[in-house]
Amino acid sequence: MKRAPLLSTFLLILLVVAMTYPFIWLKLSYEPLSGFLSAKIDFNRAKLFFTGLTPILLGGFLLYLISLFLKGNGFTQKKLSSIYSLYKRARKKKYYSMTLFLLLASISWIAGPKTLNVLIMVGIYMILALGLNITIGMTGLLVLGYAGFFSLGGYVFAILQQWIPGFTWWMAIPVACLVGGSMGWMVGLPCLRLRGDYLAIVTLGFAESFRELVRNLPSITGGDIGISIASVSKVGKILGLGVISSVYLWVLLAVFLVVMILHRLYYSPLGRAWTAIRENEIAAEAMGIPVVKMKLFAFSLSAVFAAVAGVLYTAHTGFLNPESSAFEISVLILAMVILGGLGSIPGALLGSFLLYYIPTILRDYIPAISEYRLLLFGMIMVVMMLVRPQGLLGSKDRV
Amino acid sequence: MSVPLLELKDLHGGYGASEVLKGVSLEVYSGEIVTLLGGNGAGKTTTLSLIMSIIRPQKGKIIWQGTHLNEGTPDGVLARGIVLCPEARRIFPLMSVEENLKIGAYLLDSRREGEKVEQIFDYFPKLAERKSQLGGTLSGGEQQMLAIGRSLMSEPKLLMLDEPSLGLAPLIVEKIFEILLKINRSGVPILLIEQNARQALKIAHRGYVMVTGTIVHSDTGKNLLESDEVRRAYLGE
Repeated sequence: MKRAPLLSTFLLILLVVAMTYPFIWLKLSYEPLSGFLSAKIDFNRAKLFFTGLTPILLGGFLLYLISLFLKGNGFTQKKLSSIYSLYKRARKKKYYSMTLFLLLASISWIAGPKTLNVLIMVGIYMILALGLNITIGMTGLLVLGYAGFFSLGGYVFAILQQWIPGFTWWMAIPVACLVGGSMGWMVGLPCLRLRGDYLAIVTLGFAESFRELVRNLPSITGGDIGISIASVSKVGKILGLGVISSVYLWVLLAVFLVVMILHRLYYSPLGRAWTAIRENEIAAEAMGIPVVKMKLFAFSLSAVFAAVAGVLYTAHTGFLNPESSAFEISVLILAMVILGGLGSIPGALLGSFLLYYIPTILRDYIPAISEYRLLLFGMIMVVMMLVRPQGLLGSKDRV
Repeated sequence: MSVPLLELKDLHGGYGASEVLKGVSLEVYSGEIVTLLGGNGAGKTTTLSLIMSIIRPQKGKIIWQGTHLNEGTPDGVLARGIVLCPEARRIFPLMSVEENLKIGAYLLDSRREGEKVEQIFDYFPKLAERKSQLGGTLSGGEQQMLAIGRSLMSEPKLLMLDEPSLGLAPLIVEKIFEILLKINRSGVPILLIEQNARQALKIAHRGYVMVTGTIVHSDTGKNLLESDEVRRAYLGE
């Protein structure tokens, strides 16, 4: 991309259009009764595609031109990172996180339910991205079935509130932690001797088999239909606020707690041991780090966070079905971690914010685009990998 | 020099079905520098892997301070005071020098990390200058110093080094060996694997020569340095 950046960007765009265009006419639909996937050809969709995609392509091109212009004016990564270091310095100051928390909490008074809804989901995805960051970012274990643990946490809550009347969401949190952690441990135990791709496939298998299990146990899990949460089990009002504001506050609190825990871990001998395993497993072993034990712990801990997110999600939506462990969700979380920057806590936060908030906003204001959300994701990821493989807030050397 | 600190008795071991070591016996006494010489494929690194319990012996015994080490794990062996500074340095390239060192103290009480780091910086003043630099950005010699320093962080009773001179300029090699001598004088016995026989024998009290999985020679460092056979085989004379 060095010789003629403008031309190659243009070619890249052409390539994307050429590769995706034939698929635009296909309309895939799932027949729930027969279980078949059918494809129909629909020529009207091409029009929709161009009305949706053209502004994106033009916008992307414009952004690219702006970045070229900025680069020409000496506005490089150095300046960007100086903004980041300013933020880092601010972090060190006392009461910084307290102030930030209060500021974010005050949103619950100001914002309407629609915005809060989106922000709650952003928060839940933040917990998920942070949890996945432990395995992928810190320890270097590729996990592809993370949504399985998320769904597991949700089902623990959903099933327990069916069995025990008056069982509320916060009672489910410790149970979900326990179940999630031990499930993480059980899945991890046989497969942590595997590496890279193999581990990814096994975890993917876990999520998929969990989904099938849930679908085929209708007496316990409600099967495909899912479970609705009894109103007593949902989140109650706090501080005289509405239900959604209360959920928002709880999720916000959870995100802060998770960030605090991870921040402490990251700079502890444990966090260093994880990083050492990621950097060089043999050397880590030679330094006396119990590699398998540490990997298992990372795996279980990330499963715990996913399970907590699952409980919060179920308590928020009041409904859970097997699709919560869909592969798309695992991939979305993975994309958040990679976009933000592997191994970086602020990165995971930023990544989940961008990948959840922006598509939602787009859906509301430019509906034509929402059809091609996934396509857009793919394009963003490809461009990211080319331009900034370490992620938005990842360390510069971490490639 | 009565009871050896570390004793290998007729040790057999290898990878899968292949047998690399065919009966190795050697001793390391406290306070010594012992070097293990040998060409490529002689089984030097395999010996160290066996001692660290990275691989299991097929036959034979490893006796450390009077007890068996046979069924351990690497972290267990390290907890008992043996540390391996692996071949090709294997530092953590994306962690700072200080973090690299702290990893070495993983099994140590974390409150003593800082104090240990300062001690290592006394040995290697150059590392102190580069404290917050990433490990991967150091030069080869500095990386080797870092690897040795990292191994010393766990307060070992025996330091094992796998080819510390690998890929370094002669001047740097000399410096590294000087530091090894200094470390040894502070009371840490060293088991040194080397292809650079001349340098190794200069500082070693005793040496073993290994050929295809067996020890063929053992003598004091001085005698080996002067022995015709060693000179011919390893010093190219």
